[in-house]
Amino acid sequence: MGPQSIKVIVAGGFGTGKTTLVGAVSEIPPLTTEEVLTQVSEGVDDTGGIESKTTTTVALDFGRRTITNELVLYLFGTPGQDRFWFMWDELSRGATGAVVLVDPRRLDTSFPAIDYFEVRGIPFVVAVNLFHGQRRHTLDEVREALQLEDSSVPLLECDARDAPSCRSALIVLVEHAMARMAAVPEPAG
Amino acid sequence: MASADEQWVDDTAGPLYENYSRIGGRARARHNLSLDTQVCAVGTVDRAALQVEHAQILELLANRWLSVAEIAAHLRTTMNVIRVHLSDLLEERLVAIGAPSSRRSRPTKEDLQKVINHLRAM
Repeated sequence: MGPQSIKVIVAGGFGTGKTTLVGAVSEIPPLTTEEVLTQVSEGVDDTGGIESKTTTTVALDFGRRTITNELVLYLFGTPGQDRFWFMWDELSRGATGAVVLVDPRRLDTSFPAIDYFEVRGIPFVVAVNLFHGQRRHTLDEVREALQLEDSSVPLLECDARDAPSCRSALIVLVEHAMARMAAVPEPAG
Repeated sequence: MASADEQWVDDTAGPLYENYSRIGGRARARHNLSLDTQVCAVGTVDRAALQVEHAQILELLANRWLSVAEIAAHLRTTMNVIRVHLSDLLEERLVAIGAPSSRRSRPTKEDLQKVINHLRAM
């Protein structure tokens, strides 16, 4: 019952253009939704063992694209700060894959996202976001610097401000995810 | 739309999309309400008789399926709060939910190909 939803994650360090990419594909202007996360932590005072709860509100930018009336694509941007890994887990559940936007001038800001998807075996592509046509590195240099464990991970240039470029990155991701589906046998049940 | 109930809902240890809470001594049903779970209004009811938030949700979902994330975004509240309301509305049989992207309802290769075709045609 209801449309099948396809969920794609858009990840990348601050300022890499996640929301811009979402907006380039979404049929509506990007929305922001919020999740309140509760953390239980041990108190550190002398009386010891006192639990305290803190709540944090995590905001996610996302968009949608209706494919058919039985199929809808969602693009969810990862939270601004890297530390909300619990939210990443929720985003990743059943996700088709991720587009990881990379700023070649600040490669290390994308390492946490790449590590996250690699460890979990979630299909992802690396979209190198060039600003103002400036190209200080080649894709090969970026690939080497990223130290991707899997050499079959697609790496492509992407300008988040250019809608066709964004669509290309998404197409490459979905194709990559499909190829992975063919290769890995589905678990039973 | 934040209410006193929200504090209790947050007091859970389970995964985000499973909400247990006790309100007025009654345990809430557990429903799978993930970010992209599709929801639609069903049945008929006199909306004037409903609490405001429920009426707003039903109006939003009158003739379409929306995800939990969209409902929360459009109504400018958190997904946590929306899940509580949707649980109520599910129990009242005023909304229906579809299966989220999960192990039990994954997109097929045919679905993914449709996405690719659609993106290419844009």
